[in-house]
Amino acid sequence: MYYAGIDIGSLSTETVIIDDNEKSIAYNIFPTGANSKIAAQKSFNLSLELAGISPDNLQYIVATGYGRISVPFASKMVTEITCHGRGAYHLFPGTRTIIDIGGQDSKVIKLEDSGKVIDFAMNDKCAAGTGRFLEVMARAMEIDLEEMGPMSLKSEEEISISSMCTVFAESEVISLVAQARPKEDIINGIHNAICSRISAMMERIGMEPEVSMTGGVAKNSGIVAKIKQRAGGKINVPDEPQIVGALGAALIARDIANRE
Amino acid sequence: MSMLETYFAQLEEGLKKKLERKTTARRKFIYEISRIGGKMFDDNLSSAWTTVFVPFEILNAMGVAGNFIEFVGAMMAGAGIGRQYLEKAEAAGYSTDSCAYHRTIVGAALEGIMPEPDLLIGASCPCDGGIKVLKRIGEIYKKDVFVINTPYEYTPESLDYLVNQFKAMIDFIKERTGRDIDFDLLRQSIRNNNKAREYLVEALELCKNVPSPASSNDWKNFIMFVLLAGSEPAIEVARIYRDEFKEKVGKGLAGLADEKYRLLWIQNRIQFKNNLINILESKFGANVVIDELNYIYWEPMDEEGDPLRALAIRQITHPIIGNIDRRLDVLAMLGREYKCHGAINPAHWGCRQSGGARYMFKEALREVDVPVIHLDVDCVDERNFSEGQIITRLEAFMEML
Repeated sequence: MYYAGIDIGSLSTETVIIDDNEKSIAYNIFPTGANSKIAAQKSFNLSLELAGISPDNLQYIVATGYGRISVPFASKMVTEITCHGRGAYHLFPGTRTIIDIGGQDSKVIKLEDSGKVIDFAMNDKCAAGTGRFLEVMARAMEIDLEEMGPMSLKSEEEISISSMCTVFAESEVISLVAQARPKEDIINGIHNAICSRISAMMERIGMEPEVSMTGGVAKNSGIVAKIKQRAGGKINVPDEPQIVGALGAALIARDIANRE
Repeated sequence: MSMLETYFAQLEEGLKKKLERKTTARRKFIYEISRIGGKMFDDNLSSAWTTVFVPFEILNAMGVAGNFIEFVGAMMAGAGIGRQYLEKAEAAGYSTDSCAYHRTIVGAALEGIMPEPDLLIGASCPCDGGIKVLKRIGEIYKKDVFVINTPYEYTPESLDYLVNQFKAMIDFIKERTGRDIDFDLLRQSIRNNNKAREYLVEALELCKNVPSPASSNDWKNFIMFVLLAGSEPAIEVARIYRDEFKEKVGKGLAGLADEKYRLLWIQNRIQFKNNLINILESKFGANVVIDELNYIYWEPMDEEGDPLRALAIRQITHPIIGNIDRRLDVLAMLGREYKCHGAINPAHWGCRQSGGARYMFKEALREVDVPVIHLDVDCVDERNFSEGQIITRLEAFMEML
């Protein structure tokens, strides 16, 4: 039998299908858009197609992410905190701290040796320090999101972005661009702003190695480098960090199905 | 009849009918509180707007109907009518980062929906923001504010000082209303307090049973009981709580069917309608078995000596006042004795008086194996409440437990 996990985030929706051996047999990443219910259905259908199976082959489905209530065909809803914990622990069993930066929230999760979540911290109700924050800044500088990581690594001068608010930080960035400050330095400053918020959360829950990073922002090499520095020089980043929540959901689906 | 007066009158009438059908502790409590709200409009009494830690027994013994301003903010949020008053206060220059309990009352005063107070009386603890708000209200109604300066530490000297503060408050009321204090009535209220206390201690003790005879909402906002303090109805409310829970425990009935998790609630509840308690109960079988603010911390009051001194001891020994260690000890004790699996702290937006202790709450409760979730919420301003975000944090906490 097979098990599915669907993670409906604010920016993207991911589905992962695994088999009885916990092996991922298909996944996809789909833009959430305006309707999370439609996105969940489309992402789910696409994964079935990629896996070459029908819904009848699925024994259990777990939905997670902020849109988890928009999946009528899910067997159960589980929060993304628990799912990222399960997914990261599966990929890196030595993981004790997880940093997940998604579209609209960022979190630090602490695991005990068995992989169980024992504490977590999340951003306050504000987009600062999230994927959406980076998107807004990339737009303000008229560059692609993917370019931010490599560009920031070329920074030569430290610039401080003092505003915590996304809107104010955007206008700060626009005025730095107007002052003809190098984009590399500005991006580096933006990354520093995000990382200082994440660092505070890491400290709050008492970071322990190994540290793993999940979520779409883990694709940004500049941010990963900075967090790595704060994590003591070592950090695990999965090949596809964006699907860890959905993978965790699929693994939990399998756990529950086996228990029942 | 003003909108607010009508609201209290209808609430009282509705609850009276329900009580005639069936008496429950919760109904009786809210009924008596609604009657207190209605007293604000009684022409035979003087009225006082106060902050929460004011000895209402003294006001009652002087023919003054007192209501604390946070009660009004909570009540309006609960009735879903607070928004326009919050906006009014903001239009008058109050930041949305300030306490919404206080913003609501300022807005309501500016809108003129509240009855004009004869007196304004605030205590410096636990929150001095309320005193500043009273000052602003005093400007609107051209009234002075009396401040009970509550000492931080409990010493013989500080107790004397607080007793003198109460005496000065009595003079202040006398000067402005012409009403004198009835010390026989005040002594009676001390005896009433002790009777009510006995029942409440027993009722709360019964909630240590697993499962608890109370559900999460049975004790919700019980801090409003201070408005009844020293009165006959207070004894009656407390007795009904005791009887109801005693009967339930005797019959093996649970407040929440299939109670799986027991929770401690730190500080205030969220006042406007929301789904959090429902999710906790229905999805996780989680029951709020004790609220920090409902704990009866005070010893029986001295019925023979000076009643002002007895009231001062109760005020100055409140765990939320003074050295934080006392409060941490109480939290740890409650977590342990009520066999709690976790604690919820809705850190009210704009509230400064407990923000500094957040980390220590977590540490103190960790010592007794009770994890804490801090929810960054506004307990009164629902515009500042993203339910989905808060539910994710709460559900993740429950999954963790």
